[in-house]
Amino acid sequence: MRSIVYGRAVRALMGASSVVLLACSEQAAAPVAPDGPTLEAAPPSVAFGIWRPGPGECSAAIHDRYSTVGPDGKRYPTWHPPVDPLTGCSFGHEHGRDPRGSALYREVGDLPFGYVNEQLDVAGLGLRRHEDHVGHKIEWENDIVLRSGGGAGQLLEVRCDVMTKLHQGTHSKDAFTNNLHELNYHLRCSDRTEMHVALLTAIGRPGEFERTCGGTVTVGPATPVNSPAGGGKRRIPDWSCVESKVLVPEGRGSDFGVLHESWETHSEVRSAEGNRVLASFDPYFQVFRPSRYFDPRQPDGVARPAALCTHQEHDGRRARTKECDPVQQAVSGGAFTMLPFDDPRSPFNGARRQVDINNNKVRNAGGPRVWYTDPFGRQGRRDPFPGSVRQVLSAIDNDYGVGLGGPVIGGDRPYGGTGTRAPN
Amino acid sequence: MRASRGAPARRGATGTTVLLTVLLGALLTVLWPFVAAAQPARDTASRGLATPAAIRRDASAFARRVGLWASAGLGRGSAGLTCPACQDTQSPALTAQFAVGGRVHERFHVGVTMWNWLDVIGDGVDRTARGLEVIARHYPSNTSRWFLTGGLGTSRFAIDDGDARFHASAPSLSLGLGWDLPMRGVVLSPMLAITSSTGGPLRSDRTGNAIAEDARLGLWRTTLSITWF
Repeated sequence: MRSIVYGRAVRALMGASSVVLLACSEQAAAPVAPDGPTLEAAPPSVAFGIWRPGPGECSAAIHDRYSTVGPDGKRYPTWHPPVDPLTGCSFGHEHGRDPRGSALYREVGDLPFGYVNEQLDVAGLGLRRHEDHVGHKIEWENDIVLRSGGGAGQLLEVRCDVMTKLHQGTHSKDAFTNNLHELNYHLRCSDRTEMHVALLTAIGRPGEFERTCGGTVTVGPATPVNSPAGGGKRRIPDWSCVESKVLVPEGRGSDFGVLHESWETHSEVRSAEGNRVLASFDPYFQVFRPSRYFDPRQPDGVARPAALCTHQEHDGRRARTKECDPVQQAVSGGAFTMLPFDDPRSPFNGARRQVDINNNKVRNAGGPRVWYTDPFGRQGRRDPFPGSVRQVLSAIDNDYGVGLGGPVIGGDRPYGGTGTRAPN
Repeated sequence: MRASRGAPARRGATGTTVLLTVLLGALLTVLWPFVAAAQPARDTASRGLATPAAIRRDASAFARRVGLWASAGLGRGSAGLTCPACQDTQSPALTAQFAVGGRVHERFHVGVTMWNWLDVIGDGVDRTARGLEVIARHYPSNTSRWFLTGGLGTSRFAIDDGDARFHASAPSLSLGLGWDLPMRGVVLSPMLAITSSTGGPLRSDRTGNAIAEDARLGLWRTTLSITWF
């Protein structure tokens, strides 16, 4: 008992010191515009400079200072705070958690947004896929605990540092059909599991998505048309979900939980020789209150949840929830004042997210730590080739027979800040 | 979010449980005549037919025994691993031990012992510990029934939930204290022992990968042994 109390006291002290250290590290990582000369000399990537500001937002020049040089020597956009600390202007969008607080940042560095998309252009696969800027979202957590789903999970645990970046655009029509999205996944654990992977993960089948409230919705051709299918699925709400859960008669409450996207990914790194799986991981990326849902009646299929707050069906059904309070600015004679979907006051901005860390497996015992794969994580070889992406895997086999799962990370950190709005 | 799994298969533990149950039954069967025989002796003693001097003579005779001996015992014990990946889950469970040896001096015996510990903690999870040690037993005097024992060897701790199995093996050291009760040619010995291992990797049986590099076993056990000379 005494040792337990002692242990708790030590853990409490360690926890307190961690908070202090974290505070110090975040202070030390106060945003500073990157060094210009090196970046200026780097040729721009396709992803660089594509963002355009809205009225009153930071200029593109300020935005472009937040860039880094990728492994190919090109200049890529990277993480920046929602508000530029030097000028105080807002970018209107955010990229998630500041990666500089991650225990992995020292070895990972700034993530070049769109680097893998760029490699696909030169990989000779006949595919081209570039994504917008605002969809790149970083999440990380230090010292998370992973446990097996089986009984041994109550006895054993693995501690890990994890950092992810997925391009998860939840404001446009892109993900209705397109299943290829850039994913960076970095993990280092106490059992020597380590992976630093960047690839285009194929989430479900191209041209379709899974409805949040059940069923598959076929939309149309994907970009690129010959996108490969992959594991996992993109769960996205559509009009039928809205109609059944959100627009309700008087006396009932709307279920805005249906306005929730869950991108359940399954990614693999495979060798060219024998097509062997060297590593796999299944993080699930969830977005609450995205700024879109699918409505086939719209020209591009994109409908806005914010508009639901001011919408009423002929039979009187409408959204009845506090979620709409910020949107329903005024009520006059029974008619709501419309709030534009991209108004910063709208809660439907895609800034509430979380990531589930699941099933991190490395089967690379005796193998090299560094592999070069095509942009999809396939064709892994020891030497680079045109369009290849460098992947780092620990030379172990951690397939214990049960998957190790972890906590949900980021769910308690809304990233919407001053001026953050759809599209985000 | 994660695929659910069926109830883990019970492997290993069932067989070990049956074995220990059989051993426990056998031990009770062997012990019962001596226990029964001891009852009249205590009655006799209470009637004044046995004296402390007679008991001391029995002990002295025991201490003068020579040659090889063998013992078996059952009891309860608690074991756990200490490592960065390990949860603190000490719990009492069944132990068994077997030993053979010989007397090298009136107050000094040596031998080899094998001890086992089995904990079935639910959800299909078994924890087992076993050790193989060279032991030495020391009696403070020729007539003493108290003895100190120490062992040096290797131990193995295993966790098995039917799907995932992990084990840690490492050199171990045991220390114990016991008391001999001579009875009709055998000796009953209640004993308390503690065992600790040096740190060793806790490895997956499936992959050999270490989930923790420095796993240390801690074990205490109380045992009632019967020894044949």
